[in-house]
Amino acid sequence: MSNETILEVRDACITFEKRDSVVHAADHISLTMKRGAMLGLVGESGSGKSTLAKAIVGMQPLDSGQIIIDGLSQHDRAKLRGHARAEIVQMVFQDPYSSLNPRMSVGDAIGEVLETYEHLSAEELRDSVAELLRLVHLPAEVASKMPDQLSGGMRQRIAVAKCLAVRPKLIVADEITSALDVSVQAVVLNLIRSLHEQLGLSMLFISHNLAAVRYICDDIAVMHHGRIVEVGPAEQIVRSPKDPYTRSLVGAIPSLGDAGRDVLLDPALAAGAPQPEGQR
Amino acid sequence: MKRTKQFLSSPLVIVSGAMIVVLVVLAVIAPAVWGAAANTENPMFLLRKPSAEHWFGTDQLGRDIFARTMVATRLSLVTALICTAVSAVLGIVVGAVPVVFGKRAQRWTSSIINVWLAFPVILLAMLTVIALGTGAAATTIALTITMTPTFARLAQTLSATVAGADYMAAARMFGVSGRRQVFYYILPEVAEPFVANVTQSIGGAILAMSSLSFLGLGVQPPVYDWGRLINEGFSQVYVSPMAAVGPGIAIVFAGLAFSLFGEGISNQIRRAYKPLPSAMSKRELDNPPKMLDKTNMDLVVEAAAERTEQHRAEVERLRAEDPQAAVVTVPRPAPVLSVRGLTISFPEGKRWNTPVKGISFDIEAGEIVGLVGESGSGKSLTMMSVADLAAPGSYVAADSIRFEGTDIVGMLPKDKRKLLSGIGVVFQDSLTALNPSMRVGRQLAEVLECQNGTPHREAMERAVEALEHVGIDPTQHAERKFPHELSGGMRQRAMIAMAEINHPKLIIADEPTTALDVTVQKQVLALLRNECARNRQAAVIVSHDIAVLGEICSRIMVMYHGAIVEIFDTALLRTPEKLKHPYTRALVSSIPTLETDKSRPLVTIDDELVSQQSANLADDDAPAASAKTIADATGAADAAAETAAVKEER
Repeated sequence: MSNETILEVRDACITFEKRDSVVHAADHISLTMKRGAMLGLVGESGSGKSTLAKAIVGMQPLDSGQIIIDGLSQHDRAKLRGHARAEIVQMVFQDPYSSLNPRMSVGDAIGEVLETYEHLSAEELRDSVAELLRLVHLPAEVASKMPDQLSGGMRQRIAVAKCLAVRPKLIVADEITSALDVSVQAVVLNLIRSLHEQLGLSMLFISHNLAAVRYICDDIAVMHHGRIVEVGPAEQIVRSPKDPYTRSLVGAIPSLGDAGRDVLLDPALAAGAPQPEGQR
Repeated sequence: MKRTKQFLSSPLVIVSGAMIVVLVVLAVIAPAVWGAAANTENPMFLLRKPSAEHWFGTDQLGRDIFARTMVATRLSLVTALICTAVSAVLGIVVGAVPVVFGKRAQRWTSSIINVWLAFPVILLAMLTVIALGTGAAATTIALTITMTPTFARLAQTLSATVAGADYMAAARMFGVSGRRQVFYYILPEVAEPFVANVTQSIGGAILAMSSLSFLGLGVQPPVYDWGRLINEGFSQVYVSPMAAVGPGIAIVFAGLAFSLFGEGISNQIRRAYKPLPSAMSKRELDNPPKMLDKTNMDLVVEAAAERTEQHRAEVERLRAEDPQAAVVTVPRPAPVLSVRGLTISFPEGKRWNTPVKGISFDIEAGEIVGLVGESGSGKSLTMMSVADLAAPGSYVAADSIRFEGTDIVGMLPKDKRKLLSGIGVVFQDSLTALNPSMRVGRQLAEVLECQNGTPHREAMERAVEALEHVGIDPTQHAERKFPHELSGGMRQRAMIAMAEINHPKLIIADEPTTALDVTVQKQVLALLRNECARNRQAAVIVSHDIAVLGEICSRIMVMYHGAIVEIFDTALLRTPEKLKHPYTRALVSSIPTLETDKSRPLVTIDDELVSQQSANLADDDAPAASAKTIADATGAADAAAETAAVKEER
């Protein structure tokens, strides 16, 4: 594997056994991602995208296959401890109300992460925390606040700051904007974009929202029933989707261009008929 | 610390705290004060009844039972405290600490606790005593063994919230040390309820310890605790009841002291999670704010005029199509719902918090209107209050809320319920909105049975029919299934069927597709649209997603900080620059679409900028309608409708 590749998923399989069936959450998935790239992973609930995200960060064991991050397979990474392991890959979680310890101030929460790998004086710690907050466009005063004093969008930005504190080689962002209001989503998306430009982050951005993914990612992978059905440059996926599932996904996005045309007044659509091709 | 002060001033805590202090003082000084009297055998005073000299009488060796009871405090208390403390610590170690080691460790300890709990307490204690021999140490160990699994289970349950939280997973991933995870993440979560429970358990431990001693399994003579004293006094209970009752009183006193103190702690925890009670008088509560002076009547009048214009154009068009027609009738729909000055407030201490600030709007028959706003803008509160499903603790005031012409403000609850059965509600989360323990068909039929008194069999038939109408394949027999057996999309369809089943005039849908995938979302929206067209219903769709509303609605009302700031024709979304209010413009351009320019940052909503720009907007327009002009303005909107109705017929 070349040094240019940060993430390589090789033939990964994950299955869950239910009472009377087996669910293939990841069905022979292969995926590569360049260092410094923003890769979007799009899929609907049950497509297996969150399971894949958990597998990448090591929260979900694989049945077979390999996930190589920065040249290290999952077995190599399992042998590492502490910061050596933490700095390889980090994750930003979906629910901003569950991703911060409610009993720890913002400053303590970020400081705690810094202290896992460097010994800092109180003053240095404060400066580092302020610097990280500045990176996510928050004032240094936020450090003294408790999570319940913050809005969902601010919490999500602090979760990002905690990730940045580790200086990870890869960040997995799992549906980080789906619990937020649209206007707050814009703030977080802008932040992710500017961080990508400033710091050259490698990020796997997982979302069900194709429009959001297209906006911030260079490439998009589409996942459906545990398989990657299509990978390609963002524009190509959106403009000329090849896979039928991708086409239905693109077609289902409400478009402001159709506003007021009453496009939904069509019994066939209500019955769940497939979209006519080429409809946007 | 306000909470500490509040805690210490509770009468329960003061009384039980004083009782505990008495016990502790006794445990410390009793052997020194009464030790001699308790152990001096006096053959002159064998088995005496209570007297001024010997309050509880004397035992068969002539020792003073009151003195012995006092001296026994130390041993009874110390053994109980030791076994409670040790089992609490063990309980934390077995129950909560495995969270640090991940799921597998938690599963293992959970099975251990299960098996441990399955043993009957007394049996386990007796077996231990038999194995270890009688005596204070053995009983303490026995009790510790029986108390530990209960604490472990409690610690496990309490730490389950942390174990499942994302921040715990994140901490593990960041490489936060296990010790820190225990002390900064798990213990703080477990601490408060655990301490309350442990304190209460001390009382139980004293009782259990005494029981074992009473049965002769506990401490052995010459050592004695309260239980042993009862055992010894029991032989003379008919002659001198105080010999047994005296130590019994001590046990009850100690048991009560710790139980009540524990109760005081749990009360305090409960209070901390409860909102402050209202500090307002009844008269103040009867007069919640109305904010009629801030209402958006100008927007309602404007929208009505626009609709009139559209209606006139429609009449003109039909007339041009068929000039021979003698009469062209296009009924001008009357508002099915007309709200004036709706204000929703919550009492908070001495002040009112008013998330919905005197809003007004009309919904005409057959039209689908969107209500868009961010979380906390008051949009759901508004529509739920209209459907008489106001949030608990809220106070709703309005100038008028007219449904099909009848004002429901001040109506008797019984009449209101009857009238509002003409409104069907679709909730966001079908999993919590449907009763999980009732089959879907039964739930639908229940609506008809309650609202119309339809016989059961007929109601069931119509329920099956209704499910078929919303596109659920009849061969699936959704009516026989429980809500969790259906997929999210199917459940939402069933929910729409339930809202539609009694042919309401108005559907209120609160974020009907937010929980659904985009491909399913489109189908469900289309279903809603087609059902409304088929049944000629009006609908209000509440959503945070203006793009979704753009697809299904003909008009959109924008809510911002509890006020309606703009009402516009959906077609305007195609040209967002023509929208009037800066917030609406920002809202539309903050959504990334498949056409958004990737090289530029998304527009975000800057509250300060919005308020500045909207102030300018207000300056341009006439000043907002005052309370007095509401009635006039309402009249104007109605008059506009009437003129159209007159004009449409030649």
